[in-house]
This record gives sequence, C-alpha cells and structure tokens, in this order.
Amino acid sequence: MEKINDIISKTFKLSAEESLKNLGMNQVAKWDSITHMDLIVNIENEFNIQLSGDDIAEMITFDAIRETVKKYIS
Amino acid sequence: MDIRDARIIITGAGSGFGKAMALQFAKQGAKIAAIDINPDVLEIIKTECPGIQTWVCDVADNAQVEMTVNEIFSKFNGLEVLINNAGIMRNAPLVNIMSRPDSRHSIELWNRVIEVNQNSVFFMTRSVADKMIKNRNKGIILNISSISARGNIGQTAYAASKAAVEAMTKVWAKELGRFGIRSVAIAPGFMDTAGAHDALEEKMLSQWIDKTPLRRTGTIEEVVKTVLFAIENDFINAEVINVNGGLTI
Repeated sequence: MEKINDIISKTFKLSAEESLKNLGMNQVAKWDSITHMDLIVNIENEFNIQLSGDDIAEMITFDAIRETVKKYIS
Repeated sequence: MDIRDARIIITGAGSGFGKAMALQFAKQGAKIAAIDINPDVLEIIKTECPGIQTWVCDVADNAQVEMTVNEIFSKFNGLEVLINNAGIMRNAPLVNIMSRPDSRHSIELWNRVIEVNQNSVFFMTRSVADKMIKNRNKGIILNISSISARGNIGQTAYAASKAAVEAMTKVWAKELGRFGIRSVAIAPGFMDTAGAHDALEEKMLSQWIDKTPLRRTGTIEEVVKTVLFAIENDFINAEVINVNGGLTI
C-alpha cells in the first residue's frame, strides 16, 4: 500500500498526506489523461503487472487505484 | 531493437521507398506487412519476396485502416514498427495567374493531398499505437516526411501535409515514450525516385541538384539505411532526420 501511495504522490506531485486521501480526478490539478498514462506505466513497472483496459478506465479515484492494484497483487 | 526481431507495417509498400524497405528488411529477417492501395504492385512484391504478407488498403479511408490493422495484429500477434510511408506529391501554386477562369489553388487537390499524406498517418498511427499499448509492444512509429515540410514553392498542400507529419511525430514522441514507443520522422531531400521524376519537371529537378551541396539527388538505399538506423537505435526519439545532401530551402 505504501508503494501505491508513493506512486500517487510522485505522479501527481502531491504530498504524502494528500496521497492518503481519497481524491478523484476532478480534485487533483495534475491528473489528466496524460498523467493517467504515467500513473498506469508507473504502477505496472513497480508491481510487474498488466492492468486491463477496463480497470485502467475505472481507476479515477485514489481508493479505486488502491483497490484495483490490490486485486492484482493479492 | 534488432531488425531481425521486428514485426513491421509499411504503408505505400508497393513502390519507391516503401518497396525498397519491405524487400530489404524482409531479407534481414523482419516480418513484413506490406500495405498498398494498388493490388498489382503487391502481387509483384510477393513474387519478388514470398515471405512478405500483403494487404490492399486505402490508408486515407479510416474504415479500411481499422479493418487492415485488426487483421495484421491478429495475424502477427503484435507489432514493433509502423512505417507511415504512403504519400502523394502534387504541385500547384496558391494562385496560378495563367489558369482561367479560376486562378486559385484547387480545393480538391488540397483535400486529396491532406487525406493521403496527413490523415492517413493519423488514422494508421492512432489505430496501431492503441493496439501496441494494449499489447504492451515497445517499438517505433516512423513517418516519412520531406524537405518540403520547410515550405517549398509550388507545394502548399504537400508542404503543409509534411509539416503536419513532423508535428505529429513530435507530439507522439512525447505521448507514447512512456510506453516505450518512439516516434521519428525521416525527411528526404530530392531523391532519384520515379515519384520525384513524375511530380517535378526535369528542369526543376536539375535546379535543385545545383543547389544541393553534394550536387546530386539522393538514392532510395540512402533513405532505407536511415530508416534502419532509426529503428535499431533505441534512444532516437522525437527527431526529424534529414537525408538531403545538405540542401536547405
């Protein structure tokens, strides 16, 4: 979980505290379709997983990101 | 990337640069999907190199592009290289004072050049890149531009289409780099191809040769070597590589 929060924090240039919240795409200034691609690549590289297209499209809140990644690594 | 391991789509593969690349890279071991609008030239290329697989497709028609790219991906099970080579060269001044009754650049000609040279690159790349990302294929989008992208007299449509190709190349390099997909353009100068001889008057071609520091046209092989270099050097990205003998326009 710490790793996911760290990726969220680094990708969206947020503090560690902010990355723990459940913010959505509309609430994070640097979260757009381009940084979303960075997020996916960073997660896949870190956890050595391949996210499905549907999961990628649904990862639009921090909680959704955490839940989805957990599903792949558990 | 080693050319021997590459699965490659080449558009406009039936003649000129496209055909030369298809034959050369197939000879080196690459798996080639050759696309052309003309079935006759594809038959010839298959006779010359039976290992090359061919698809008849008008790359200016998005429906045909989607169908063809789908077929190639299911047959090849992925892809590393897309070479957007298909194109046409048409010349016309913006205003031709000798042309009556309408002296203005033809809109039909403008639209056709933009469709074939610019829209086709967009159609092909959006379809191929989407599938490469989904398949997690790393590789390169290679676009054939032209020295005319800098603005050549008498080539409003052609120059605009090639400048657009160079701009798209740079955008895609920035967008797709994170997925390990590079984007590079090759901009040949005046080359000794049938297309150049068809499109340019011999007098004009000879004037361009005089202005070229090397005092000659380039060869198809020189462009093919540059494309190979761009494919095999995995750190080249977002570049327009000029192959023009030092000519500036």
